[in-house]
Amino acid sequence: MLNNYRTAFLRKSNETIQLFRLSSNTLEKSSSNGIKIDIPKYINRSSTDILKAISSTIQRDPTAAHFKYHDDPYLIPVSNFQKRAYALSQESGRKAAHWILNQHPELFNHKVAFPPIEKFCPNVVYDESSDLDENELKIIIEKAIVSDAIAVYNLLKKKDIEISSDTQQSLLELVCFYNNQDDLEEDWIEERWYTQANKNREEHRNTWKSNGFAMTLFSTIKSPNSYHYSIIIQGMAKYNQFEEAYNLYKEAKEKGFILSINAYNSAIKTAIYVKEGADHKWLHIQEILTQMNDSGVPMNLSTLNSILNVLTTMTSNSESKKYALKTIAEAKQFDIEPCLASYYYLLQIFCSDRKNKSTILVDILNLIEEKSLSIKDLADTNFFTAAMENCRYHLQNLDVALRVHSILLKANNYNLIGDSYRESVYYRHFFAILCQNESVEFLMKYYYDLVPHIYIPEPSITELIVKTLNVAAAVELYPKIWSDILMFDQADREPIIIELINGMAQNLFPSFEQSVKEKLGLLSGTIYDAIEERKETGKIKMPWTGTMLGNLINICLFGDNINKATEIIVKLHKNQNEIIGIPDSLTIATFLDYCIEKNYFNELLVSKIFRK
Amino acid sequence: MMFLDTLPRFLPARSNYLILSRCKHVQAARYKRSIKGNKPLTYEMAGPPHTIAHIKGWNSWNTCNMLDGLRPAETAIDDEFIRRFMTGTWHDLIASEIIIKRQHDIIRIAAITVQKISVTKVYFLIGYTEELLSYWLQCPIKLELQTVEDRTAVVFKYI
Amino acid sequence: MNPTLSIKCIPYINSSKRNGIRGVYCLTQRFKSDDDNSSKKNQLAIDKLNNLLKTMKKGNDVEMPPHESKPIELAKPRQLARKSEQNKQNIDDSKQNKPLGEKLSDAATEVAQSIGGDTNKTKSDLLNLLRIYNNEPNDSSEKKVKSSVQLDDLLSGMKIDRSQSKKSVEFSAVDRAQRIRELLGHSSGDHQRTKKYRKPMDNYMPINLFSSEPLGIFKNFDTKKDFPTLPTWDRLHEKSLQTAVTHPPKNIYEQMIIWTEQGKLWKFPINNEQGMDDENNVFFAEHVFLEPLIDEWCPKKGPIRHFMELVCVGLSKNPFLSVEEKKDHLNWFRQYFYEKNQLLSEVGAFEIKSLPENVKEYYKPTIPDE
Repeated sequence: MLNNYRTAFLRKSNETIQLFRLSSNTLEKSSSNGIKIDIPKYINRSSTDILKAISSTIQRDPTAAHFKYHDDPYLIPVSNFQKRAYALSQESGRKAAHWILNQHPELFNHKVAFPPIEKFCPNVVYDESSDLDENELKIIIEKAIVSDAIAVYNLLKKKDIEISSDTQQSLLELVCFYNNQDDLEEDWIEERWYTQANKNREEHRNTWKSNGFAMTLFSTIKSPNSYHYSIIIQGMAKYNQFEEAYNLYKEAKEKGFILSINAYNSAIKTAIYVKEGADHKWLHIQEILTQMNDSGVPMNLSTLNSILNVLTTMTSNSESKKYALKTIAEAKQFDIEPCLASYYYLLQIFCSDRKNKSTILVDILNLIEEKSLSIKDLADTNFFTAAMENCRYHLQNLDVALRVHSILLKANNYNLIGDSYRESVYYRHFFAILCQNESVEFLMKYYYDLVPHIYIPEPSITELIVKTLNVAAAVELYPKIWSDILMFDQADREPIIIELINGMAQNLFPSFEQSVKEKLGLLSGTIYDAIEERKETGKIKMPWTGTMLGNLINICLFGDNINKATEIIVKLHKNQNEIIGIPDSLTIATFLDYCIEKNYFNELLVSKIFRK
Repeated sequence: MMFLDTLPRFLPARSNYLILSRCKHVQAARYKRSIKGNKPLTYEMAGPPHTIAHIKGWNSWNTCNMLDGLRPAETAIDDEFIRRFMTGTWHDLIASEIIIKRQHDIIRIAAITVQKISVTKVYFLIGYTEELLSYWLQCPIKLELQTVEDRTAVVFKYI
Repeated sequence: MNPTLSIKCIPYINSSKRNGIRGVYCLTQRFKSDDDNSSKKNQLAIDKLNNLLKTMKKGNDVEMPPHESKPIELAKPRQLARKSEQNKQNIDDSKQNKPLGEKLSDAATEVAQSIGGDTNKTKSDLLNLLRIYNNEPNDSSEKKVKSSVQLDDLLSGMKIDRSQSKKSVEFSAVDRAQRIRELLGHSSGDHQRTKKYRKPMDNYMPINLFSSEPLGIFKNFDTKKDFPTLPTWDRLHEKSLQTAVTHPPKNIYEQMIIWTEQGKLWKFPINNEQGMDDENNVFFAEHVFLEPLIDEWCPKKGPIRHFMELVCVGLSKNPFLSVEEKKDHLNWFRQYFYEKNQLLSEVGAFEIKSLPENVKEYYKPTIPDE
């Protein structure tokens, strides 16, 4: 009976379900008339896309130090030296761990991760006993480890294993690109960030190893073809061996080879060294360009940049500007757009002449503002620094400087600032031109934003800032500036202290409120104490001068800080031989008047002794 | 504890009494009073283990002990390795327990250190520890330190 | 002598260590003594000096009163006019560092007059203030240079002027100029920078960077010819460009991006089988259905078949071996039974006819050790 009931029930439920389905169908139909569902196309995301999206939502916190520093007050750097020291010491710790990993690989053989992570495993060492073949060499060239590549090549040669010409060519390319030595590993970001300054000095020296592996490899090739010649010429030019490069170029030309574009570019660059005089250089360039045309080799961006580079060395010639513009037009034929490096060279060419100022920077900015910038040439990183320098010395215009700064802050352009040295130079020029602006609020807006975590002013810039404050009589900012001077270890610089004290002394307007006056008085007392303290520990070696102390006394009196004033007068009296010069007689007069007014007779007596 | 206290009332049998009174004899992670009363205890040390999740937290955070959690044993060993490594590398500098949190393949190690050595040395040790531990444990490590003037700053009470 | 001048100037001059100023002060004294004698010549000289001062450079950091310079045209009686001009002249001369002394004094007068009240006192107050700004101990070399530069110009201007009047004074003026120059250490490095008074942005003429004609070297360009390309070099170049632009990470997410790219961190979205690409490509059936592999050589019935089927079941449930390894297992058994063919035929079981093809010499299944 239950069974029957069950079937009946099921039948009923079936019917209801069918009814329901029918009704839902009709419902669907009615709904499908009104709303259209648009399924968007699937976007393929890479593994880091979501991380990039999240990190783009984070803005910079101006009160926080850079991410690489540990977030603890003891561990945050406040001067340029500290910043560099902390970042590099952290990296040297990493290097120490890396060294241990490679010295004792037997300790790290456990494979916890599957598939094994290469970065965490010790480096593979190639020696006699390892089982090598050409594939291994190819893998090493792919990873671009030069020393291993050379070692493996030698081992293969010893074992008489055949190496194809392609692999040999790749090996030659690798070795020439890096001049037979290992490049700094990718991991060591901090070192790269901080050592670019040294590299700049070496940029113009000839560092090509003429007896290195590259040359020997080249000589072992029995009949070098155009590829080999191109590689060698490019390598030599990269490391400033211009004479040899030019000789090889001529040799290749005699043999009738068509070289790669970059080889021609290198040949153009040799003009800097090989030819003297602007006319010769220009003839050289034209000669090479005609050869390129004859061989059917097009221009590319590097060609444009190489030509402009040579033109920067020819700035004494009046024609170089015309040549530069002509070259750009020529490149336009090939649809080559100038990159930041070309603009950098243009700035050098047009603005090297101090007498005829050129406003080309503004035109360049007009072109750049709309585009999104990316790195296309190694010299791109020079652009922003040069542009800011141009604003400061050449154009002396704040609006242009602000434009440059806003372009730098857009999207990803900040990457193009280069390295720490270029960044500091950039901000140095920026602050200098901000100081020339009249408004102190404007200057302080950028000051609070950038100092001390992004940029710490050099002493010359601090001096400029203090001068600006003096001129604008921004009295409330003196305490902040003073504490910053102390923090950045710049209290030893005589010009800054003199500027600061004089400025304060001149800005003593009687119209100030009492609290402001007192603050000023206290501040001058603090300055005196701080410098005295540091003199004792030997940190500051700058001697007092009479005018400085006189000004300090003035400020103290202005702020009713009579104790400090007396102390300074006593010091003046005691250390007459150490203190250069004498304070203004006006100061002494003011002191006496003040004492008389306020009935400080002790102090009067003390000063009387001094007068005697 | 309460249960053990009241138990003897229901079960006065002498043979069980010794076991029960031995049950009350817990001494894990409890510090004995010193005579002079000047033994310093950090907050962590001050709370006996039954106050974990009450006034204390855990020292090691991971999902290994949940249902179907992977490799709980290896994780425990790794934690012990990390603690010994930290204590040994930072010579007499760590003033608190070492907290280990595992979050998405990154191991975050937190500790309170004393400001005994210069800052460059601290940074050297930070870089070194992070890198070496990541080679050993094969996953990225992040160190999160907080520095403190000296050990008296982490003292909670004196016993 | 002018009484106001002495009161204002003497403390300034006496306390200052600048011999130069004293020297010029003395000069101006002498200058004034001439005035008393020949007023007309003085007038000419004064006018010339005014013009010179006007045409000199303006400093760039002090607020300039926004009114244009014009020669002083005071509607006053001649005597007073000359005297007031003398005043201004001398005050200007004493403020050597400020070439725009002329303008400032005008401005001071105007301000004083507009404020009302005691114009003279206000004016003198303002001028005092300006003098204070002047009276900075000139330790910075730039200032020294500036002042010496202007001093030179002033004196040279005077010299030119002088050539029309007394010649004896000219001689000593030159001497003085030289002496002062030596004293202050003349350097003309900043000369140009400080000299200009018209900023380049005032004459902005846009230059179209692409407006020029091309060089005309590349003609009849034939794109079909091929030239050598160096793939490895290009790849390394790209890599070096990228490293030039990578900076230390700014937040934890950038650090995680770097780790992901190096392979140290799990990739998003989290995939339990990340990195096991080989296994991805193998269809699961190959793992589970292993009977076809033994069908070739195994007898259809009998203990061997039974045994091999159990082996297949066991292997199909094993998630830790790859397909290759499972096949190797089965092949090992195949070889084993082949070797025992003789025994099998004796017992009466089916003979294993065929040998496996790619069997290893002596294949031993590896025990996975971690």
